[in-house]
Amino acid sequence: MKNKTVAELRELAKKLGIAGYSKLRKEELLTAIAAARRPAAPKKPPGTTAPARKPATKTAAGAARPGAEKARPATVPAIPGVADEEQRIEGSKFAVAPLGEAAAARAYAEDVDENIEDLGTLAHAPRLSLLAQKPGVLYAYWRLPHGQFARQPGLRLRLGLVHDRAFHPQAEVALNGDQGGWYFHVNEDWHPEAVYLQLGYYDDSGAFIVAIDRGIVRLPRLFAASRYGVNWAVTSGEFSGIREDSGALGNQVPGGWPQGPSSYEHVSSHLMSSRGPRARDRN
Amino acid sequence: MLAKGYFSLVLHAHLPFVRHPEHDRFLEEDWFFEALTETYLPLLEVFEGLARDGVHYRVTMSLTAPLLSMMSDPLLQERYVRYLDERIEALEGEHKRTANDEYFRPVVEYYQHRFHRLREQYVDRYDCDAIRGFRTLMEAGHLEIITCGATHGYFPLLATEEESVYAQLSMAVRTHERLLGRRPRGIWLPECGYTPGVDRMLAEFGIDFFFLDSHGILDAQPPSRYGVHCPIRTPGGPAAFGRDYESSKQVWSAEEGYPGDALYREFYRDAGFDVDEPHIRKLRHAGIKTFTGLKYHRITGNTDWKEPYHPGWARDRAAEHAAHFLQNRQAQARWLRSQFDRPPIIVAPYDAELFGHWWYEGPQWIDFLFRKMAFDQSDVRAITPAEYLDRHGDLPIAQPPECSWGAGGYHEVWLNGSNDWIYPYLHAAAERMRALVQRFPDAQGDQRWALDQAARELLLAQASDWAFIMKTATSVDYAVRRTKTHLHRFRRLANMAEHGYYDREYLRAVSERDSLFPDMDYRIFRRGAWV
Repeated sequence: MKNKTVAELRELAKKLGIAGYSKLRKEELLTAIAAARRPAAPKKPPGTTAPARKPATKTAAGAARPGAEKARPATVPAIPGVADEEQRIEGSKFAVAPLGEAAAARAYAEDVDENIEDLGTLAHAPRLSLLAQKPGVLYAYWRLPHGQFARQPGLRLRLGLVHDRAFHPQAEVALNGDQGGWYFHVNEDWHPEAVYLQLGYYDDSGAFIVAIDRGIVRLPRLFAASRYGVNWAVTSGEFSGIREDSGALGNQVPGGWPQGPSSYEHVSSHLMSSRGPRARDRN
Repeated sequence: MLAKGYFSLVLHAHLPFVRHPEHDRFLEEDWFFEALTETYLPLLEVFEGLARDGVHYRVTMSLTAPLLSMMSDPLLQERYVRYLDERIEALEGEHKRTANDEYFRPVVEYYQHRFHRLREQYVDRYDCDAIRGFRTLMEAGHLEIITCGATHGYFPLLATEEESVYAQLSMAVRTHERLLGRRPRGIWLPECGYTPGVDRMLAEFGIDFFFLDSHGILDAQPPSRYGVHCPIRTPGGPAAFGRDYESSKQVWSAEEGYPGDALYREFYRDAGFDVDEPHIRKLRHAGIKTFTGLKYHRITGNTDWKEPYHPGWARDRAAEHAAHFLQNRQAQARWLRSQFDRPPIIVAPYDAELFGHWWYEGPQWIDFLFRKMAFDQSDVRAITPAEYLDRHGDLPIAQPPECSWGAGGYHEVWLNGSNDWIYPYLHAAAERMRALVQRFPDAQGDQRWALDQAARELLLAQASDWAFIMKTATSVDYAVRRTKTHLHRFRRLANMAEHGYYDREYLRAVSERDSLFPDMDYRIFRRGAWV
């Protein structure tokens, strides 16, 4: 490749659809061509039980991750996926190569006898957690004992509001493994302390049997109008972009779901036993 | 003469703990060496110059525990001298190469002079311990040094287990006291990540003040009539200072900010990628090209073509920009003072690495700014937040919302599709650590060793840098690797402590590598201050 003339490289760049090829120097052409030729990695199925990191998001930069999406050619002076200038500058203290330059894949020599991929199973006791991402978006994640998901089919996660001593479901998603997470959209007018999660399943009569539930710990102000006129709350439209970026998982139940009787006299936790789920105690 | 308003420059200096004794050289250690070369040592030189010349100035700096630890680590000190020597040697080669190049020869000579001076500063003046420089300035009263989270953990996403936040604060305060000889009066929350409740925790450690992004103050309940130009007192006790938006925009903004000026040095052009000669190839890591720090071009404009760097012109431009900045602060102070019943405080916080590393002329700009502030006007006076509190302690009480200074203003940088997978593991590990502390309140011998090391691993896993890198995709493989390594080690060590079987060889290997916090006590993972 290095032995080709600049003219030949430019021809090749043109064929590969690299922008601005006529202005690139030889080195830049070589880099851009190599990046354009790198094959995209097959997308990993989401929610695998191995603790792999999530598949490449749409906005991932190609430069540092081998096998990720195509790196942009050297002429484009912007880091893909980082719209914010401040963040780009903050990130510069970790930069070891110019933009668009592929950071070569490195082998990290293992010198301690350990397998860092072995992070163990997460849960001794099942757990639901809620984290705020920003006004308008909540992240919920679940951890079940190993194998529980397979033993109890039809597990679902519901987000709802508790008021008038009842749980009012707002959104629902099917689980796809012993552990996983989901981003929920949250309305501006919801009270943070009213937001609850339930994990459970529908029995034959259509009642939702709650196995674990979780109340909110804290939420950022859902609607914050600052003096600079910036409205931080996320609209539903913006939210679907967030959902897409995080990778689809599970089957979201479209629209309505069975409105089984659900009574919320009090909030309590029920652990799922390995012998099978029990119906929730009703007081 | 009473100034119309106060100006507080706050510099947050932080790098994650990267130290690999198992390799003779390691690429990511260069983050630290570059920051020393282009930010920390030049800033020290500027501050010492101001002190020597009797210029009134005040700077507040946070020096995080990992950074302090790296600065005081003998292995990294040695490797940094090697880093400097290698560049000095490479520059000799560059000098020969540019013998007939009238454009680049002066730049090479500029760097030769600079690197010799840096080496003198580091080896002769500080005896290879950069902390010495900061400490001297602190003791002379020019520099206020505040603390941060122990490993820069992002509190709002760790606070599901309060023990994690307490541990981050404990170890930070301890390290600060150990290496600087006094307790910190203020804190820079990692990424200004705040959630209600943190105020109460800070008070338990005797911390008087912290910082928030502008909307943290503006959206506090009830709203303060001073906006961001007076701190608020949180219900828990400490005061919160808000970032002044205008002074930030002047420096950070892509369109209007100073660092993008055509005469300033271009960050992305480096001899490591432009020059293919043996003396430059020697600087590569295992044949991989990286930044060498020898950057010869100026920004020139929004083009790929870059002109040679001219240090003198860049320096003059920095002086112009300093004057411009000061003028705006004067106008701002005068206007605000006319609206308030007290002098406003304009808080301008930045990542320290912006000055010098990203914006090469940044430290010079700071130098000019303080000199002009001291001699060319009297509207604005430099102050530290602590001094402001001492003078104006009666503050409006308000509770800030959960927020950060990250992109978007909340948590999405650290919680999104690229990095959300880490939180179930971090939370589970913190739960487990809490259980271990409760179960073994007084561990001794090997068990104590394993538990202390497990606590170190957990703190290292919590560094928000990893999630940040996963989002911004600069060295994702390294960040993922670090997260998994520390989580894995935590788990194995926790197992050892529980089962009573100690693999001493493994313990020793891990302790040698993850050697942060020599005075670790695993019991910091509890509710309530344990210092």
